[in-house]
Amino acid sequence: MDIFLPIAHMDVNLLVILFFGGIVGFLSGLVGVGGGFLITPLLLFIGVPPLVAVASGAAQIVGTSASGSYAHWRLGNVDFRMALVLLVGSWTGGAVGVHIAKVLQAGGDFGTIVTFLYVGLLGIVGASMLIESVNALRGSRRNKQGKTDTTEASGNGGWMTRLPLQMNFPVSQLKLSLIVPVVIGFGVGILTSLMGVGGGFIMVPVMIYMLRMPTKVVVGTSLFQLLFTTAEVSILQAGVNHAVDPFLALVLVIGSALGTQWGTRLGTRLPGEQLRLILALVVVAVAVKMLFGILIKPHDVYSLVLAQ
Amino acid sequence: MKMMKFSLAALCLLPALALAANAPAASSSAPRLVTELTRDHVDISTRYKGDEITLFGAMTSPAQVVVKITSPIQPVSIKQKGRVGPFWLNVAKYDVANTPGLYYLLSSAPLDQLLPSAAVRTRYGLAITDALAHVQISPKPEDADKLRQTLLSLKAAKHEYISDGSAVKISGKRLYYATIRLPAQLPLGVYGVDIYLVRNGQVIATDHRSINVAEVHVEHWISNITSNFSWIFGVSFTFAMMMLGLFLGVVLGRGRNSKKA
Repeated sequence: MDIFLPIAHMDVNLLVILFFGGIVGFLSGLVGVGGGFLITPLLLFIGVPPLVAVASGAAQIVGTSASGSYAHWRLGNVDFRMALVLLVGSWTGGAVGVHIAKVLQAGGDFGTIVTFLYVGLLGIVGASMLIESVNALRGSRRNKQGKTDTTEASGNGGWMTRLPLQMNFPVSQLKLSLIVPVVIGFGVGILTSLMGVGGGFIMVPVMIYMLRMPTKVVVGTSLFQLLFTTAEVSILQAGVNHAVDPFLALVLVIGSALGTQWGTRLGTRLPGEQLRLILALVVVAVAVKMLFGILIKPHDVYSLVLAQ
Repeated sequence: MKMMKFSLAALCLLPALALAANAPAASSSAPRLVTELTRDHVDISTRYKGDEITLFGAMTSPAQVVVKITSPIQPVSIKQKGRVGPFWLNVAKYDVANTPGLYYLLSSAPLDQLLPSAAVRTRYGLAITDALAHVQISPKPEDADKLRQTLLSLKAAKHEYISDGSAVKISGKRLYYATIRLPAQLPLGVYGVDIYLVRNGQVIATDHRSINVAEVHVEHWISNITSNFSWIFGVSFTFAMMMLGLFLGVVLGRGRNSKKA
């Protein structure tokens, strides 16, 4: 079942890639996180060149987020005005990021930067998930009769209301400066192009806690924004960097579509807090493995790669 | 079994060789050799995982045989890692131009025994270091010799530069054959196959064949569109991924998505 990847220039076992897609889809079905941040490290572990891993990862997310976005759009869970403002930022960030990737790749530093970004990101995400799930497990044991949900009703921080270019977002029932979502979008766009992630794990908490959007429209708007950001980055990575591997992306999408179904089915039957703990441990383990990769002296300090 | 087959095939070449040797030419007594390949082309398809081509032939008088296979030029980069604080990072990168991707020296005995004179080996490019005869390394390394050695050992480790003194078999003092093993990843283009008949430290006859390595069908089409029409590819592929995602969602989900929301 070996297949030659035309852009990655390597042989891979089709089933391994299908399995990777499956794991990520399974996790996203199970726990609800996108899982794009696990695909790139997995591809790097089997020797896919970093830029190809990141670019094909973005293309894969286009496929995996399409049906979810459509479903939320049909249900009216998308704040289009907010999504468009975010997209102004993320499309700019995506274009800038793809060109940064091109420059880093030419200098031979892209792989290093990706590793550092992932160690940092997975470290932070994994650690906070770990803390959160441990707290949740403890809390659910201590007082099972009722949880004390203390959502602060204090509203936006003062500085956000004082920024210029205020705009009304009727669907989210918000008045907000345009600058905030554009800047957030820009950051997510950069992450998508440099790391091959959708950025939902950043966008969702930012929308809930920082922008204080109603939870009902958060997931739909975030997915919609993410779909078009990854689509832009995927086009640019193919056009500018010739780094999107069609076979890799296709097999990943099929794998993750299958995995998602399985994960969703299982997720309804298994306890959520334990699942989150397992995912947190997986994320931390991947971060640690990547960190060891740059901490341990390599077998050979010299290595040979095909010139671009 | 395999050896029998090629020996028989090579035997068929003998009459032709005898005719050629007996032909009234200026050097009718000069040793001659005739070589054939089981295939002169390699098709790179999606399922290509490496290939084997057998070279076989006959010679008019007993001698040793050396086969040199040279691929087209394939630019590579050498990355050097070094300690930066607690980390091992790439600290230098050298671009290597003008060297063949593959360089195989296959012979019936070790080359330094067959051709003791280094000058003779160099004349025919029959030392592994000759692969780097026209190498250009940029930026200029501090210690160029050391980097060349590093390049040779990296290439050897990947089995891309091979010197094998037992790869050519000789049977019955007249027939020879060797298996050329091509890796899964290799540069495209025309590979030169040079055959040298060696006796008493001298090359006494040569022959030349070539192997054409080319992409076929889908593979050719994909590499053409992704490199020459990268924007069209990017837009249409991304759109196709979106459609595939929707399709899979509908087929596998059947309303599951709306339930989740």
